[in-house]
Amino acid sequence: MDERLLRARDLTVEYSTCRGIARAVDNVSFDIREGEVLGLVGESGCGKTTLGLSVMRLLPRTGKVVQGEILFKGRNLLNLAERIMNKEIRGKEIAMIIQDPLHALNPVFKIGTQITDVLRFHKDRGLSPHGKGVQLRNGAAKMLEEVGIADPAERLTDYPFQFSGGMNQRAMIAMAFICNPALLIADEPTTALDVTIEAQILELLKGLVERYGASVLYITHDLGVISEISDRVAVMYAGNIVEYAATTPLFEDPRHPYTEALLRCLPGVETQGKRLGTIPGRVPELTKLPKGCKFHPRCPYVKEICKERPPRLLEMASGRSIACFRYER
Amino acid sequence: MKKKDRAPLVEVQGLKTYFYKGKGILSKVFGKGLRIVHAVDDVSFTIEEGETFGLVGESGCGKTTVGRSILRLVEPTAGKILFEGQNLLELSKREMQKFRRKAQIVIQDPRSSLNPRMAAGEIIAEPLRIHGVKKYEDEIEDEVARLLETVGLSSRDADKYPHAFSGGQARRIGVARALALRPQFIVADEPTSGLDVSITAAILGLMKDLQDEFKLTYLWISHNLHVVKHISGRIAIMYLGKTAEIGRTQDISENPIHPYTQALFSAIPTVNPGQATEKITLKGEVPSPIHPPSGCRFRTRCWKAGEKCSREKPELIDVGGGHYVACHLVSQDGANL
Repeated sequence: MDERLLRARDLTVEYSTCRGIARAVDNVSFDIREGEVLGLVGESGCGKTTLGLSVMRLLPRTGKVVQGEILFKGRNLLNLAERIMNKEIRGKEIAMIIQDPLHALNPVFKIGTQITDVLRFHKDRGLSPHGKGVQLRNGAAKMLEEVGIADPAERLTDYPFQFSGGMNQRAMIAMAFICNPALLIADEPTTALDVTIEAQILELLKGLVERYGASVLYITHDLGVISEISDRVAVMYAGNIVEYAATTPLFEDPRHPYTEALLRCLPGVETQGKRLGTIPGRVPELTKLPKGCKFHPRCPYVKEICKERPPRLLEMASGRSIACFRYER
Repeated sequence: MKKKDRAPLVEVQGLKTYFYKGKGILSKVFGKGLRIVHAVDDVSFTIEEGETFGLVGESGCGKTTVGRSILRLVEPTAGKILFEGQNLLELSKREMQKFRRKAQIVIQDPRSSLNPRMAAGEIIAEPLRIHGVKKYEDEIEDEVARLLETVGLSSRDADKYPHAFSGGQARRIGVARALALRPQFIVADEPTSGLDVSITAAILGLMKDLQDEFKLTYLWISHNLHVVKHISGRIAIMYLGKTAEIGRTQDISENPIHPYTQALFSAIPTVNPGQATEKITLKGEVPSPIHPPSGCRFRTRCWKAGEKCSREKPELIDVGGGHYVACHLVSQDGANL
């Protein structure tokens, strides 16, 4: 059996915009192993959220996967009918948590109703017809308790506005885990939260992932969070994965010029009084991407070849993959 | 280093800013059902000339209100704010207007602090016009061009409207506007929040350069500890309207004494793989500032809280070297009891 739960191959996603075609994800390949947390990190607009949405097949209407495949447990998700996606994948095998829980939770339904909806949809047949409501409620209450909400049975009848930001995120996590998914896509789940609450949520997520044995695609712009939660990290820039490695080597010894530059931008007490590294120029517009390596206009090591054709993401002997001509022989 | 005998530029003494929240006009007239939000409750600190003083805390701790109270953008309820020895709360409107030339603010969200209908040049020129610093149009135009270049934009950007700028560029316009009157003191309220790391680094570099060039003093408000640690010489940590700890950044990062500071510093996700740090995860959430806990405000989440903590409010005590802590469980020499 393949230990890889999810394999994305040569994935390209484009949005049609009034300014032309924007290639948000460009020829990206990655895989997620059983039980691993893969961190996807990059600055805004690099395509990390688009990548997460493509796996869930939740791209907005203007977006389209134009090339590639996403194999989940051997099945290509891109070929599944919408009905199958709903019945067998979304919420059941693959769950998602997004940045702002208030956007994901329906304000006019009770928290309990929203959690039991997931159960009712996916686990209906497993329940005995007698006292179904009670079973659903008990299931939801048990899950709320697991995510650390006090008095879960009473809280089921609350509305999202009665919960704080941290508690809403906990409720979202409860919804995500209630069907015991094989893969969790977490898109910036702690960005809107305060540090101490962020720490609580991260700890909760780590515990649940361990207990349920789920794999995670963790998307964030925060390098600190990534370094704490993930086993492996993929760094994205303008639609490409530029570096892909186990967490510790990546942060200790970044190889791609972009990763290197990004890590030198990080402020802290050690950098006090010193200048932080900056990356000259700015992220290119997705409708007007530079030719060759997309990072070349900002790269300090740029060579002629970088301007001509894009580098391939090559796997090195050390197990890390880098897309840069400096490492191509 | 500053000489000891010099008076601090800004001195905040016992600052209290309360907001009154009622259901309607009746509650305002009769005080019925009136709820008091204790946004800032007895905060004192000093800011020396030329330094960057960081104010850190989580959302709702009152850090922005402190910044706004110092500039009297919200009216403080009690306390004293001395700027060059003069109490700002006693100034008349006209005197305040004069003072505003010396102290400016850079507001967090450029989208809401830049008028979308005004071109960048007009936005930056506005303070010059209001204060009559420059009278003639050509002078104003030159000054705007100079300011735009100072913050790393081009003089051609003067005709563009805010929507045409990226997040980082919009912050730069906010900075240029604050600099227009050549102030001594700038309240920088989350100037880097919501920006990407590489843009944050660029803005931090700019602010530091400007500080050196114009001899600026900053009150730097942020929830991002990494940023505050990088830029500030001294910091104050706020929790629910009170200061928990004040001291030199180096001292506090190496030796946080207040339990809240310890938890906060251990909670920030840091890039140091392989070096697993002991984390203190706080239970629960910040209580409401309408009904703050009695005694020490942190006691409801503090793992060390004892009986005294709910009875008495802790005062800031000097534990040496300009390091102050407000905790009952800390002795005079800074040791945890």
